[in-house]
Amino acid sequence: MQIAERRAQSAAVNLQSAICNLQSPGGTMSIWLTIAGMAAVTLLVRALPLLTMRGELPGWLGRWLGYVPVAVFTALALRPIAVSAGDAPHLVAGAPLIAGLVGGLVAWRTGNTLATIAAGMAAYWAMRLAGVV
Amino acid sequence: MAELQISTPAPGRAAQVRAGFLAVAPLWLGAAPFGVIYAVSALAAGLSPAQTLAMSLFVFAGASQFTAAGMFAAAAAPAAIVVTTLIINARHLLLAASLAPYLRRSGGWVRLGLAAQLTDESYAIGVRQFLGGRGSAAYQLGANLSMYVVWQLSTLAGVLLGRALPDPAAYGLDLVFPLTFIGLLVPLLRRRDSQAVAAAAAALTLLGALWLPGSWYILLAGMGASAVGALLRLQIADF
Repeated sequence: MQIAERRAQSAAVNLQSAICNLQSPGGTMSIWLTIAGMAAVTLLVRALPLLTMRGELPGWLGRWLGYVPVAVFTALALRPIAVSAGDAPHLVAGAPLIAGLVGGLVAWRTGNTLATIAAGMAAYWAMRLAGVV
Repeated sequence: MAELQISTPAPGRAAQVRAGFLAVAPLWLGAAPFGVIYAVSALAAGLSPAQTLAMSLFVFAGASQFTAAGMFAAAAAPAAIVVTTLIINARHLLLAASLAPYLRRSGGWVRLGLAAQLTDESYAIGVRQFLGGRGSAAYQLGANLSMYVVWQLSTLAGVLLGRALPDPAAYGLDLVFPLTFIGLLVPLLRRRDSQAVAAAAAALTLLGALWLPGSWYILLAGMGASAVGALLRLQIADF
């Protein structure tokens, strides 16, 4: 009776510590499970459209998706140079935005990504040295 | 059979893989510093070197890895970290959907393999080639592998270097990312319909970045502005 009780108790403690390990972010098992979960949801959003969208697309959907690259590139390019990072985002017109405009000009003239990056960084550093933040 | 074509490439296909791999090379500059920084911040948050590397190997999505490291450091619940990852990476739905029409004729395993390694950068390089009519699954694979390799190597470098490296943002190196996308975007703006879509995307990006949490602005601008473009095409015949 005593033995059974003790066994049950130690099983309960084991279970409890296992659950703690799962829930507390410090537990190494919980970190591995979190990484596995992150990997699963990321694969899901990447694979779902490619695995499910078969056959000819309707015309309107094709036209819509055709404009997605321009729209996404604009979003990825604009936010880091025009909006402050952090808790209270606000518009900023500073060295990063001007560097972006210089880069845009070079991109328009040359169509070369590497030249765009070089020109934008050079403009950014010139402004930093001149005291523009 | 289609699945096997990539693993045993004809010479032309191998050349396309190589071309895609090299086309991404200028973008390594933007990604590598952040692989290093991700690793440093993940170690600082209490992840082991093996866990830090595993996240790069199996999640392979920079923004969400950064965020996860920060959340681990803040002792966030695992479920919260996974849900946040889902939200941050939801934009991949859109990227993958826009590639889907071009990869219709590829086998299921090819599409799954390409999906698993899709990133903003490799998508940008691959889809630009598709838009120009010269894209292929092999080219996309090369572009994907290129980002994957540089992300793993820079994570490894970060694990090895630890905290020895200075903050790349202090040198303005975080500007390389937006400049990369400016370099990719601007040459596409020769057409009037693209200009209209970019203008709509800019407005939605600012609205979303100012008033929506996380990276929802990418989904908002990506879906909203491209819908504007499709609607304008219906309204204006010569657009």
